[in-house]
Amino acid sequence: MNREEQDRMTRAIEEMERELAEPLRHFRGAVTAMAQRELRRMPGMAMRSEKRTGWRSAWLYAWAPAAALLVLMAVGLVMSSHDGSRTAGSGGASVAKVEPAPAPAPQAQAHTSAAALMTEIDDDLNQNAPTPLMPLEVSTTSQSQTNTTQAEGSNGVEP
Amino acid sequence: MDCSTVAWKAQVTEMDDFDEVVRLYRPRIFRYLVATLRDRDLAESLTQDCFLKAWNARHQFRGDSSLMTWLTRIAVNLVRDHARSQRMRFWQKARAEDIDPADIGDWLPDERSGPEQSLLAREQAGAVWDVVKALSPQQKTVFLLRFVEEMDLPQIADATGMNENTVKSHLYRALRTVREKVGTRV
Repeated sequence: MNREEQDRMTRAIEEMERELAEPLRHFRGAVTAMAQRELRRMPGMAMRSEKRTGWRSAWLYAWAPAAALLVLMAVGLVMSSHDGSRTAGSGGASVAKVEPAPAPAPQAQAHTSAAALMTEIDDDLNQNAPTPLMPLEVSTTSQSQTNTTQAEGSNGVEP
Repeated sequence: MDCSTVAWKAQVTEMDDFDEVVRLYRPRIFRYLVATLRDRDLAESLTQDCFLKAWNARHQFRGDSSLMTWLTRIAVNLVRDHARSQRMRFWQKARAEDIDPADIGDWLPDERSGPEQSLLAREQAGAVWDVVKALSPQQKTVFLLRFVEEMDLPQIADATGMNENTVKSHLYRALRTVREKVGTRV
């Protein structure tokens, strides 16, 4: 298409646009009004905000347990100090409610109890294995022996 | 700093606040898509896709064209891809047109001075809507970008990937068809 044809087409377009100006304006108005009405009915769309909310919630999920733990620790600390002061101050009924705190043991006693604990553990370890944990053959053999003995004793007759 | 650099910086900065981009351009993209596809749900779905693609490709936006042109290009490509897909062929067979051409005039805000003018405006809008449906996909795209989105020819060329002469040819043919049909009806 040469330059002259291009110009002629441009002029024709301009002429038709002028001629159809009113219908085109009404068409645009109708499409715009329809799109606006549909947009109002459609749920909102937030691209970045969703991301931001995602970040926020992720941050919240990460820090909420830590914050809750801190609050619990603080409350526990306050309550224990409060109870301690009440125990020391009033005694009697409040002492009965609260479990007595273990008395601070002297250093020697601590050593003794540690040694006793080690002995207890050693004893536990040296004990024979309980019956369910014994080797299967031994257990089966002993069980069959018991059954045989019982059958012989009663001569196969149920009491 | 020259004007183009300032404009470029402004547009790239605008992309940083994507919520604002969506708020500003969503109505226009949806309007183009609903006028092209004549299906509210499909238009809504492709509008979402358009902004999702724009969000994912936001770092590629260099401000060479305006933000609206860039978004329109994404929308035009989405429509093209959708038309090619099997899904679109199924929908074309399965559904009746979602938007009734008889209703298009009813959407016009009632700003006319009298009932006769109001009726005429509705008829004209409905007639154009009806004729646009019969245009070829390229003619329809160019026509809608020109007369609904009020883009000039270089912008349409940029958004559609056609050269300006091709845009002009499609626009000329579309206008001639509209003038023939609407001229006889109104």
